Amino acid sequence: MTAPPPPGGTVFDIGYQRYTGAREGRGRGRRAVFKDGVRAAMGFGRGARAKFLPWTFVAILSFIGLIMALIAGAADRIGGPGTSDQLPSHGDFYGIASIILFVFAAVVAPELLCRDRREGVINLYLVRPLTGSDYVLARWSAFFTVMVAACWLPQFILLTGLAMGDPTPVQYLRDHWLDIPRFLAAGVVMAAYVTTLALLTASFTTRRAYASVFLVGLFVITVPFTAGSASEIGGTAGRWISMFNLTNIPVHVNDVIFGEASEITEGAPAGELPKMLLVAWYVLWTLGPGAVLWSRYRKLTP
Amino acid sequence: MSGDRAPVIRVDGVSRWFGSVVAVSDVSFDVTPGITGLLGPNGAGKTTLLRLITGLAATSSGTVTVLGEPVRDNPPLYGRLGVMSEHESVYGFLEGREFVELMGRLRGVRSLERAVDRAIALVDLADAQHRPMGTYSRGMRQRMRLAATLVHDPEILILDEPLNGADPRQRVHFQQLLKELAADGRTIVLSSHILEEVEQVADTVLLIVNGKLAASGGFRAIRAALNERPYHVRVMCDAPRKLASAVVTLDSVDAVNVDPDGAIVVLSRNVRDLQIELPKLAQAAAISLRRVEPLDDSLESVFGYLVER
Amino acid sequence: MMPPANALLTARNLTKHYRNVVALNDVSFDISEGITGILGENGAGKTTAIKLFLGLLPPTSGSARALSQDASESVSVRARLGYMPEHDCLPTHVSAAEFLTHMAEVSGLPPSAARTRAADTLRHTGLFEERYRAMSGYSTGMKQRVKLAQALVHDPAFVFLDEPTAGLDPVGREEMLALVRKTYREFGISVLFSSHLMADVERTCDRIIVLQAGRVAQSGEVKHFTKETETVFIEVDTNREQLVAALQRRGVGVTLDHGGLTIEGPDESVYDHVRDALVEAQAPLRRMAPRRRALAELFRRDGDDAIGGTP
Repeated sequence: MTAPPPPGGTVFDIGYQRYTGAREGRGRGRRAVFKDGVRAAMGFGRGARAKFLPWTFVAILSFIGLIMALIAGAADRIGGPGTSDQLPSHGDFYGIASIILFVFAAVVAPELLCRDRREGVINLYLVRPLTGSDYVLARWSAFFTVMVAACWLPQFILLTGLAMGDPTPVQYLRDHWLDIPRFLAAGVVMAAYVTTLALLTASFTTRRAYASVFLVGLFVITVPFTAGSASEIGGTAGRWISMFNLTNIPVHVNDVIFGEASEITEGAPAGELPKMLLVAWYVLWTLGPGAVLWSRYRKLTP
Repeated sequence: MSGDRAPVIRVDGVSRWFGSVVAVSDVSFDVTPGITGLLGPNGAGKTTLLRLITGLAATSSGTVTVLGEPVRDNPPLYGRLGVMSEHESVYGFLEGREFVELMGRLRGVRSLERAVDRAIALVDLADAQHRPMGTYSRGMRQRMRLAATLVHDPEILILDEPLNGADPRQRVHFQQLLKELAADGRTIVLSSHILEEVEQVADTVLLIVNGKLAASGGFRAIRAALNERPYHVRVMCDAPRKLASAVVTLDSVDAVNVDPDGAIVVLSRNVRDLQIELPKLAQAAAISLRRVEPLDDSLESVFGYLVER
Repeated sequence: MMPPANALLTARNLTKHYRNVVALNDVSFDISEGITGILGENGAGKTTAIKLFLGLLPPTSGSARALSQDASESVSVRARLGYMPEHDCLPTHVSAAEFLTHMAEVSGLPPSAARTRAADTLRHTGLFEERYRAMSGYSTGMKQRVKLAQALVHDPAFVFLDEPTAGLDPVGREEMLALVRKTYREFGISVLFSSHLMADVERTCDRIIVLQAGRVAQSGEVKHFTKETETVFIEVDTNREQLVAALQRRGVGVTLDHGGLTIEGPDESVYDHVRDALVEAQAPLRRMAPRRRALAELFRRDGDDAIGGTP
């Protein structure tokens, strides 16, 4: 029998090919910018150094939640059940953590906007099927998502800790289930506020450090000043001055949600003002800066 | 060319290193009046060499002599040098005229007003001289910087990429200006990446590759000195294949290609031999030569060859 | 006036004012397939025209159409357009591969297609192992390649290149110009090439448009502007005087010109005289070719068809 014929050979064309696949429009673009924003904020795919700050903040916030749970558990054991009801709980967490959330946003959020403008990458985004407002909305959503996660995680840790510490966890949850939608909503309120303010500041400069320093400085100066003068002066004037305590603006809304003043805002004169006013004030301080942020990016051209 | 005239700039055995990085390695050359082009790939050491020539940096070994004196730490000599660096930033709030005046004052120019007028007229920016430089286009900024370099009427001009950002008309005007300045007897060293333009204005070139001087002198002479490298010539005639078969008999010819459009491309190792023999072969075969074009003859091709070596 | 059937970009009475500056003043032109060069002074309107075609600015009046769509009406036409900016625009802390994948997604490609296209485009623009390193370490040449790659990664029908050879040394410049030619000739993507360097445009473009003070000063095929004249230029390495004498003996009129000599409007018989004169004079023939006009002459002459006047 003769040998089989030698095998055939093929040369493949690996030259430039036209793309005939799906083109998914602006939605895909927005999603890509969103994903990239989350990665930039949390340092994914960017090496250990980029992960250090954001994850440290997350760790601190989680730690606070954990400590609160442990103290409550200890108090119940020592003073008998029900002692912990007096201690800070879900409604107080955001007030306690507000400074940390602010600093987290101040330090990390500018990374999402400043770098692209500084390095000129924004020009490459703007010549794609994506508008300036698409871009900033996607970035805002990315950081908002991160902030919401950073707000909710410690609350869930706290809830778990409190439930486990209670002799009857299931009963505990049944009694306190209302806390859950409350802290979820209040978390959204906190996150929207800090995200918008931090990103608005970042939209005014190309250097992250300037934005961060400005924001932190803003809090460091206004918070003690307004808190101090408000209690000194008292009366209506004092309440209005207290309204300018920037860290408390969202916390007052948190109080409205939980129905009682938190540990931190108990002494704030602003808390005496009508609830609708406090909520409206919050909306002004979130939507106002948000509108400015949106309009700044809508007008950008390369 | 008379050898008794001292060179304007003499670079002798100059090296410059930064730790283990040798930026300039044992370079020696003379620069005489006229336009000298300084060429080389990015990172070859051109900018370092220019800094050494202008006395802004010290050599690690060797000497740089300008107009007979060492250039380093020699302030009186700086008055005869005009230097235009690569860095394009200027004070945006200064009017163009103010900027040139400032430079003039720094150099101790006498009759400042007249000198400034003259310098600004040379670069053709009299209309814009009272506007702040922040409003200038990039090309105008470069021209005003050049005026500032010329205000003290230096004999020697060192220009590093002076045409960055200039549009075609400005480039043409600038080349004419350089030729005029050189015709007055000045010495100009021009560093540029745009070889076509250097080819048009420079009398001699210096090619730096990896810190070493790879070639210097008149462009034609350099080209001739490279005659031993493989050399392509495109020939059009009325009987291409007949000519090809005649040409291939030459020892110095390595290959002959026939193009689809009827031209033949001859690859030869000996330029001179081909240059003499080609008309003779055509004559002997009664072939009419229409066109003979060397394909590797440009400064660009010479440059590419020398850089690859 | 209907644009030619294969016009990719069309400008009709396009005008753009910025505050008190008129950037474009009632310009009309068509850009078809191929490589088109756009030349002009700073501020002549080149960048404005590009931005109008990309739909980044609305025209003050007139229209700019890209790929048969009104550019300023929809954002989605940019999915089929690419742009390579002149200035720095690359992030420093990510690799080319990661960045290109991201840009492809932003242009609308699904993630797996984006990854593949990014890898292929980097290969076609000549970036190999270095594509996995952070871009802060890239040379100018590598960065220019990445800039071109991001303009091509989503397979556009047309790309705008703004000074693609800026900052490159001669070898890098030649490589970039070869890539630009490859973009049209191999990839089939048409190009609008904006440059200050005449030589770049001459070597790469099929057609050019010259803008001056917001108006079209010239437009046409490069071949037309660089066509050969009737004058033949001859360059010999030595024995030039003997050659001149030999030619004159044969009754050929000769003019000395820089390194060589020229002969006006020859008829066929002159070539043989030249050949014979060369042999007789033993003059080594370096070059014999018709003189070509250079694009640079457009900007040099003071006559009617020159560009410019008072700056």
